Amino acid sequence: MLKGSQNAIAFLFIIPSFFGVALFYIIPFFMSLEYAVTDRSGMFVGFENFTNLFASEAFRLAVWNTFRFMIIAIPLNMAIPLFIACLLFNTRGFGWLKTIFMSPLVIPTASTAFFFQSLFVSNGFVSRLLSTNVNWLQTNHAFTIAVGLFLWKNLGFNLVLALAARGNIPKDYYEWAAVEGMAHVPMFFKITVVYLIPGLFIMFVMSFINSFRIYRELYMLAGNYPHQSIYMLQHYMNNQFLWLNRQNLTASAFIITLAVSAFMIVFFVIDKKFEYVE
Amino acid sequence: MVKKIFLILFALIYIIPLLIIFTNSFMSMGEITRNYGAEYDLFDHGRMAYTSYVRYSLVPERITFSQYYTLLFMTPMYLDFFMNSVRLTLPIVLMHVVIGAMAAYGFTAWKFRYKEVIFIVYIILMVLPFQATLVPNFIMADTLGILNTHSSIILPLGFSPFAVFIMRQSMKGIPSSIFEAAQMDGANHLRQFASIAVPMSKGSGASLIILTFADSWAMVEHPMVFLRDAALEPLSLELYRIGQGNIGLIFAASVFYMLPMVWIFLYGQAYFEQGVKLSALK
Repeated sequence: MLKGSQNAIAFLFIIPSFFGVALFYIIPFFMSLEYAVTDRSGMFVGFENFTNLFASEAFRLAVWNTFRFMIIAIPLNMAIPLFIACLLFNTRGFGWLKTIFMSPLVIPTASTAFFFQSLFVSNGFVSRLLSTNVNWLQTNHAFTIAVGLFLWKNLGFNLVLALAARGNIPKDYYEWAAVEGMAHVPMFFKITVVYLIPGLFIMFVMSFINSFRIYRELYMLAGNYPHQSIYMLQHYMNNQFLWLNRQNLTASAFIITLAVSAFMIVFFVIDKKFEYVE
Repeated sequence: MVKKIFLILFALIYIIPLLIIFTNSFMSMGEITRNYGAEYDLFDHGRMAYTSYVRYSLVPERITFSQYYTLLFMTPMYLDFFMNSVRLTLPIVLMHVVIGAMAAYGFTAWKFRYKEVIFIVYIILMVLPFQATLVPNFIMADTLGILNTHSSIILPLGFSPFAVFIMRQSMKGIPSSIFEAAQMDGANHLRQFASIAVPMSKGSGASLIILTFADSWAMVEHPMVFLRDAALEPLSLELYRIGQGNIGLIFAASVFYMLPMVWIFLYGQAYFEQGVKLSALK
């Protein structure tokens, strides 16, 4: 009896959060689904909004760009910090550099956008170096610029995580390995990489969240209609909102929620498997 | 040696924009307009009238505080925008810490078979882009009649599952034997929460405060969607508008904007790193 009531009290701690999440996210999400299956006059149209959406070239472009951005930017935003962390960790007196790598986090988005524009517009710094007048943001290089901007902004946080993970590997492991006659390269893969894996989880989650947030910068950099190589789902959805097209907006929100849910569930099942293996 | 040079060059890429912002904030507005091309129209992509190449310069021709003077005394609305940012950010951070810590403890202590299933819903909501939760947030704000007020931004963001996730990561790492020992001594949940879970998650709390503060202080999409009244807008959105009229002000305004963030970073960094070390890697 006492045990049961204690468990109920533990549950009470979650109530404020449950309340808010239900009120602002879950309940209105189901309310919003009404738009996804009706037309503008409120008539039930089944899956028509969804078929329209998939038929739309803009939507398909946006999905492809977002996907392409994520599979390129997220792994880079994990690999580069790990590499830098290993360098920093072994270099005496350079620890303070990590503060510098964090500094883009404090710079206002508008100033970041301003700075990147001054680099890449037709009279920008890059054009000056190459003596041309190309607005690089309006070429296929825009995608590379977007990835670079993402890495510039978000690498620092992952670097701190990577450094902490690297710091958690006991020195003894390397000493034992050295006694056993292990060379440097296998040491890196068999010790460093293996023991950095737990840190990868949170680095991945943070990169995933931030890869969606790059929209802030892209919007300020190039407005509602950027070059087609960086037209993301967020641009598409924001434009639907501006056109008051709740049907398309809700349908695409539903699809993205479904896709993210499917991905996250698979990811978590795999992550749990790894935990049991350990 | 190669390693050191590489690290320094790489770090330079990261620090140069900050240096430019800081040093250029002491330039006269005329010098700024000249350096960045006279008709360089920051966010108007249609008429990118080209007059001269952009020139970066770290040293002002003459050090002047005219940007700051204009910002603080000639255009007092920027102080109001700054205050709007404070009014939006502080409640969000506070809600995150209190609600997040409580819920994280709940998720740790509560015994329920499908707890992890519920938590996956939290994680999904956490990673979804704002545009996906925009309509639900909007519908609820409309239903509650809080559109065009700060509450329409504070409430959905304040209840964001991110806080629960971060705090739970650290509470998971507390050995269960500590809680069991406390229970043996007759400590109830409130006691365990206040004397074990919270003190042992201070580091994560600091990371949470820094991350939430940085994120809310920089908000752009939320005020664009939920606020119609320009007088309610935060500085982050206003900085975006400065460029459209008066780019000469952008550097001083950026420095002004960054002050609280720099302060909170410098103040919290030690806790932050400790928090990352203790919790995030579990």
